[in-house]
Amino acid sequence: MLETSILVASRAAESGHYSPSTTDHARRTTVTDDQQRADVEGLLPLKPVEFLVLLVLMDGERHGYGIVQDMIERSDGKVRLLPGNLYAILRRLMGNGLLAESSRRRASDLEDQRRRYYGITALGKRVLVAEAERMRNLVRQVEASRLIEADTR
Amino acid sequence: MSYGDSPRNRAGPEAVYRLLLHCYPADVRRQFGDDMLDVFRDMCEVERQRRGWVGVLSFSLRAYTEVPMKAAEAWTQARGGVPGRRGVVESVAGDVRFALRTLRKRPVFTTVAVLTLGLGIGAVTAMFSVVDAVLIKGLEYRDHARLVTVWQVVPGWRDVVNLTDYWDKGWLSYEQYRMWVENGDRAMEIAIHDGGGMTLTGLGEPERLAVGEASASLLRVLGAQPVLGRWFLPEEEGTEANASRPVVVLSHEFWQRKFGGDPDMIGGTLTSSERSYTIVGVLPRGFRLRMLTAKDDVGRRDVWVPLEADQGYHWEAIGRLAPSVSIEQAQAVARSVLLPQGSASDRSISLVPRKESEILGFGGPLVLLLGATGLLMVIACANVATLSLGEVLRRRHEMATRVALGASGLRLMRQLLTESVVLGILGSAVGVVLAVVGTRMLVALAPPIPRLDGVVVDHRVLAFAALLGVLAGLLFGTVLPMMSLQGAVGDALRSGTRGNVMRREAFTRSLSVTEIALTVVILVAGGLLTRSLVLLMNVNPGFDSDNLVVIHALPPNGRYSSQVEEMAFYGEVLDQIRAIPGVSSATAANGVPFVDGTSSYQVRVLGGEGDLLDAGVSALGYRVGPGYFGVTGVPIIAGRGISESNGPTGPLVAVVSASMARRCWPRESPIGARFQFLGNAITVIGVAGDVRHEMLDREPVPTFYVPAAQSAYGDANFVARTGVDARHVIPLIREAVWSVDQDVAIVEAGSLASFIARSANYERYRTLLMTVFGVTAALLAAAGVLGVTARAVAQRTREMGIRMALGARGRRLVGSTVLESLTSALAGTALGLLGAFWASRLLSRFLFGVAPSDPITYGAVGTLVIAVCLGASYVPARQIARVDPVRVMRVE
Repeated sequence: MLETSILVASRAAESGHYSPSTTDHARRTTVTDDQQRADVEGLLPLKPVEFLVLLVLMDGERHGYGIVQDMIERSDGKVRLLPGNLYAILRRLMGNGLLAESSRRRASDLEDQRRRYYGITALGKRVLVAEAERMRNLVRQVEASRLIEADTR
Repeated sequence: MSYGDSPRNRAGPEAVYRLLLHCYPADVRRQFGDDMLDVFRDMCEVERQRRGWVGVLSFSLRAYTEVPMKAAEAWTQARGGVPGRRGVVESVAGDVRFALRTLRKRPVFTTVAVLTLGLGIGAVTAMFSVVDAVLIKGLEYRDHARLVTVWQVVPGWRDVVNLTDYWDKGWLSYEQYRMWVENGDRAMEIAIHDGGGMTLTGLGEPERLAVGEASASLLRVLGAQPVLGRWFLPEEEGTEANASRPVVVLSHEFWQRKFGGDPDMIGGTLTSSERSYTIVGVLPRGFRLRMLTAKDDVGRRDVWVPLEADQGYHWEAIGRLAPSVSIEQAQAVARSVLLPQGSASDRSISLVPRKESEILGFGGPLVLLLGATGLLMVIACANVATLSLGEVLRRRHEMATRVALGASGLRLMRQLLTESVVLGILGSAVGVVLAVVGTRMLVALAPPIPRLDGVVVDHRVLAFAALLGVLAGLLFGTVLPMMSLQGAVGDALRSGTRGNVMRREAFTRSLSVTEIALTVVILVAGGLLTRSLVLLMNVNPGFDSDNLVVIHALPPNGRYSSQVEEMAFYGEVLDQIRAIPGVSSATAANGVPFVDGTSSYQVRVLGGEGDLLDAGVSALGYRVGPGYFGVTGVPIIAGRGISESNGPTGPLVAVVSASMARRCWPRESPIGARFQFLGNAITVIGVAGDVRHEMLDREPVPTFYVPAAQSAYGDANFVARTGVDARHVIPLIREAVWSVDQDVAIVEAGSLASFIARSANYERYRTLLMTVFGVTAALLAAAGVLGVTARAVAQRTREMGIRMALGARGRRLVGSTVLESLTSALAGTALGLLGAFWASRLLSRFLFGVAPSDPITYGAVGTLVIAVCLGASYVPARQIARVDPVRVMRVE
């Protein structure tokens, strides 16, 4: 518990937001943070497509079709989400607080302006990182069993 | 009022997706629906670029099937369902997913079944959307249930040659309208209107405009508002007002076409050959008002002008009943006001609900065609049922294994049902795409039918298609599992048993008999209509229509008011036309059969007896130029025709038709006899052959021809006989007319043969459609027979192999297999002919010269169908000859 608190405080300090007066605040968020960690664990494992969606959104906000396009690109055309599935995923991710609808609209294109944009939330980023770590652990176990060579690059 | 408020005519795939989105809970749809549609549209576009329409089709089908499953998940969540635990909805979704997977594993079956169903659903849906627009949907007027058509019933018109059809649909006079306005009750408000024309000048080539003339009350009665400016005021009605300060209201389409939708045109001027009108308003887009007595009038008018007062009975009246006034009450009031004491006693007034009078004459053929597509749909279903049954047979090991592993019969049944419904929905999707294409073709090929331009594949039509698909799915999804599950386990355990197989064979055969029978019904209908059309088109109109060109022209009103001027104008134009290379002779007349009608007159035979003297004879009167009979090829049977010598100063003469001669002078020669026409005594100088006037199926009526030089032409129809293709000459004749007077409007121009063909437009349309449906049905039935035989052959390979090993000749085995399918072909054809015999009564009023039980048609269709069935069974049966007995024996 204390360690977490220090961790949060030091992270805050690194990012330049730390000031003594926020210590109490940091301590209060400790509890939430702990809960969130539990939340993060509860949300794992992610489905591969969910993982991909979050990954795509790390590059910035996208509208629905933008997400589909990026996923096609990233998967070399293998993952082609249909609209129904896409929005089922978006709804689920939003329901779990991993995504949020963006209030920002792009003004460059009238057509695009009408559309909803989605962005990844802080929780979403944490879940993405946790999922990546989980997968890395899995891969390491496989490597340890010499089934595949460890990538040493 | 919602004229032309049609939903955006989006491409079919997107419309279907929009409809499917209704599967989602409302809040989800509200939140994401538009976005999903956006994504769908974008991906569709990408697929279009990537793989063309194949890509679009396969993408849309995948996207469609995904929606119900995802929607089911959304519902589960909306009901607070725990993810992971399978609720009813989710388990159905699971079934659907499984069904899609199994269907995907059998691409040939799935493709054939979906396409067959799609064809059936597409045909029904396309035809339904036409019936929906023309017959079912309301009229485009606000609260149209209160609108009535006011007819004057004139029993005497039954004896008037060109009014016979209208005796109970007679028009009102302007005076009657004024009587209603002045003394009329509050029971109903009446408006009157008529169609006319004006020649637009000063905006390019003189153009003939379709003009509506109407009373100031019209828009109020119809419940419409101009989109710009105003409609007429009561004080603008009548001759004086029209002469002193004429006003005009433009239709939306005309305003867009001629003025590019410029709102500043209000207050501007529109110049016709007669007068300059002030533009006071623009009507809403799509505003239509038909003259009901003109069948091919779909109600389009370029401009509307206030009516001018006259004496004639030619105004069609439309009334709006006051609230809580019944049609009977209004009719009683109308009779007392419009037909005051002392007026012609046999007349009456009848009020008919507007919608009823609007669809009169269009309902029968369209409903009949819808019925034919319904049969087509049943054939498609039977085909798919046969296919599915084959699949079930093929899968009986799978089924048996699943039952053996503990799946309940109910569970399997549900699975099969889901598969069928999914198949049905896929079929509807294909059907909708076909319907969108089909509807466009139906509209493009159609003769003038009111409200046909309002045909859209909208949500009602889509719902109809989806319903059809699901029903079709349920039909062969419940029947089949029941048939198949009975013996699924037993078959697997006792693989030699043939009992169930036999029963299934019988069922399959009965399906194929049904298909063949229904095909025969549609083909007989198509055959009867075709024969009737051919007979109709072979009717001799009474003149030689080959290489005859007619130009219906209208000189500006009042320009050739004196007879001398008029004759000079006509003479000059005819000289110009005769000088055109390729024209061998030319003449003119006030009307030409099938192009431009003429009036009927009550003529009295001078020196006649009895009723011929008193009441006279109703006859059509043409005013014709010299050489009319020579040019048109109407034969002169006795006496002589009309020539240059019958000038204005000579004695008044006429040529009468054979039927008029028979009617007026039954016992003596008509040559030299006299009759009274418009107060003048006219001497008959010749008898001409009978001519049909508007429709080929109408018997010729008494007709007489007087020299135009002795009366006046009125309307101008120039008739030219050409030695070359009419199409090359028509532009030259137009030029010739305009070289004499460039303000002459040309109403119509074409070969007389094309005008005659036009008179049978409706007949041709329904014949074409019925034939197309018949051929489609035959193809489906042939595919069905082919499938059934192919399976029978495949199942009996072993038997055939053994028989061949025992010495049977391959060719004889092929023959016996083909003969087996001959049994169902014969049974189906016999049943079908009986059905057609019964159903053809519905067709009888659309037939001409053919009895509904025409043996030639029945014989030809029967032979054709049997031949097609034999052909279709021969193709797979040939495989038998190639069976290698050695290989079969080795397997044994």
